[in-house]
Amino acid sequence: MSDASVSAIVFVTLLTIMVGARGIRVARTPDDFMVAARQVPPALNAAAISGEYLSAASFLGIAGLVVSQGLGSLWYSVGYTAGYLVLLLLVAAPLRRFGAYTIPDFAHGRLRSPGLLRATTVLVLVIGWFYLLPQMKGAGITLQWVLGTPYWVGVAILGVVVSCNIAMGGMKGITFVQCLQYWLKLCAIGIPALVLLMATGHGSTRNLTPDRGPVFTTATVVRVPEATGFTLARPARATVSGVLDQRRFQHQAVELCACRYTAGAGTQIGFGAGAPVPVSLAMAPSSRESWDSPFLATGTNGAHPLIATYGVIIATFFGAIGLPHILVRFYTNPDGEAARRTTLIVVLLLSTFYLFPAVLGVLARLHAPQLYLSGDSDSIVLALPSLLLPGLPGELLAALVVAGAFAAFLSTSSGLLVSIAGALSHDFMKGGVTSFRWCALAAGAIATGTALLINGFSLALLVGWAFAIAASSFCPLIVLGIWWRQLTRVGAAAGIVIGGGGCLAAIISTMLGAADGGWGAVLLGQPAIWTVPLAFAVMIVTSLLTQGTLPGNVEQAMLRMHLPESLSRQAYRGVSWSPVTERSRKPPVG
Amino acid sequence: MRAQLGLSLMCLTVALAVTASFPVIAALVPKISRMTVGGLPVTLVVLGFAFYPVLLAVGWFYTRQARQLEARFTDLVDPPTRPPDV
Repeated sequence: MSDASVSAIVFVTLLTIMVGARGIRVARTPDDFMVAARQVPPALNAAAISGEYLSAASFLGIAGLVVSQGLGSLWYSVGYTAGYLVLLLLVAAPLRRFGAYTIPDFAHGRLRSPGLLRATTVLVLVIGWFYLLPQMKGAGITLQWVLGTPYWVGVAILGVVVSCNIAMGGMKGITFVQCLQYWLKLCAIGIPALVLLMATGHGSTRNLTPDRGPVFTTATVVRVPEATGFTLARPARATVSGVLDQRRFQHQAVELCACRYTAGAGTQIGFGAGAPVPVSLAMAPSSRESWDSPFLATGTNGAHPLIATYGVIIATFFGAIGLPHILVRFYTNPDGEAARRTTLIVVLLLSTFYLFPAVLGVLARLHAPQLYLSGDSDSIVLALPSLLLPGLPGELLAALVVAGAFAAFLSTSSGLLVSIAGALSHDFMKGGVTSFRWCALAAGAIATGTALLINGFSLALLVGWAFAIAASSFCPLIVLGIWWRQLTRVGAAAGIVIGGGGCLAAIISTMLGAADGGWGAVLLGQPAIWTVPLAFAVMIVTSLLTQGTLPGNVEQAMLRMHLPESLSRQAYRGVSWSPVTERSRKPPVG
Repeated sequence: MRAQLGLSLMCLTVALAVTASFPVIAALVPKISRMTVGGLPVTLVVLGFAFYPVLLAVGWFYTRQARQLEARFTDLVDPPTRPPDV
């Protein structure tokens, strides 16, 4: 589209590669690669965690959903933030003190079971890939929007850049990159949101009032990029050039009725102020609830909105604990107390960020409702600045948004690839830097391939599903593993397989279009509502039934997780504790 | 550990009670989701802005309490004059 946007993409990508390349000189041992040698101070670490966490779904997806589906979609942003609060309350400090690199390491160290190690590794790969796909999709549609390239070009570029960068720099490199990218993302969404708010904010709040379809606030000409079906809420006069319902018009005034139309590609329809906004059939709100309802209907075709809302709440609140690429960052904290402080700062940084997608979504609803016709809700944030602020300022803001979006894809997919490649090489290939590099390249290639198939799903929905799987498998494992002595390996395995497997099966059947409405659509489309309690229940009941298989090291592991560092340093001085390979513990400081 | 768990669960309950009760309240009293605050729909105000300070406050309270619990525990087990490194 504009040169500014192109240079923004190039700049962000080069920045990532260059700062990442600094890591090559520093990263020498597998430890450097995996957890940045555990020397990262809280503020830096918190920004890095947030930078890694704020993905395409946060940057593009939420605002898009707010416009198309309504304010209930803001539950995603509340949930993504609250997930960190839950993480802080339940697992941050004990998990850091346990001193394992990854979730599979934690499972193995706590429960001593090679089978469980393998099961959790497979699940890391599943969740990681599920999360990686929307990032790739984001890159695809962004490049599509900026350069007009086909969808696969953006996907492929992101895949290549990220896999090569990880293969070269590992995690030491990307801690700095991630930190930088948080601030870049905050600016890239905050500045446009505030500027656009000031430029347009004194308008009416008419489109925010309940029970009314959106209307044009000023006379607007809508250009239909490709053949689209749309509906009108009320009859309206419009000036049409192009094809409408198979009839050709040359700048003619037409009385449109409140019914369904099909516009040909390139058709332009001019509406007067106060006319109802046409709603693309592809984007029609799936729920009959009004736009300002606090319920959420994505992925369930609008059935049982209250249950669907709780599905998302459970998935996002408890999903953050189980995300593989996030947990590994907690091991970069020097101690448990620092892990807590880091998490609190993360909650602050995320809260700040998530104010802005809401602002952008509401602005789009207010002033640029013609975006309803653009078809894909995920590109709304990209299109908004140049629509609201024509000319150079709008173009610059658009470039900023594009830069932020690319930062989001790059940072999240880097973090995910580190954990996927780490899990592959550490648990399946017997470790080592070379095998880590090859695993990073292979995992990147596979994700790029699959991303080409999922263009049809909304970003926030895809990421929400990754959260649901994490919440119904790793979350019970970690929470019970930390707080409950009687957890057995059989119980843990049963809970993971039934909870995670059930959730995955439900999501895949939704992707294949198994249920269209009613309870089926809710329970399959937002499965966390039943899979999370089920996973906890199965884990607890099975553990109680198999108390004979309690691992022998329970007391030691519990002490390790819950003793403050000042005490455990004394208690373990001279005792070789090794839940996994622990090579670089900080020397005790008094 | 028991005290830590109690603290965590208490904070979790507070946070969940505040946030997760909103859909139920809105479903039971549909009038609430029709209200506006200064021209903005109440859903936007609550989901877009109001929940974040609540989450932060709970998190801040928890971090402080957890640190104090640990300091007290350390003093109890390990009384020597060494200051607790928190």
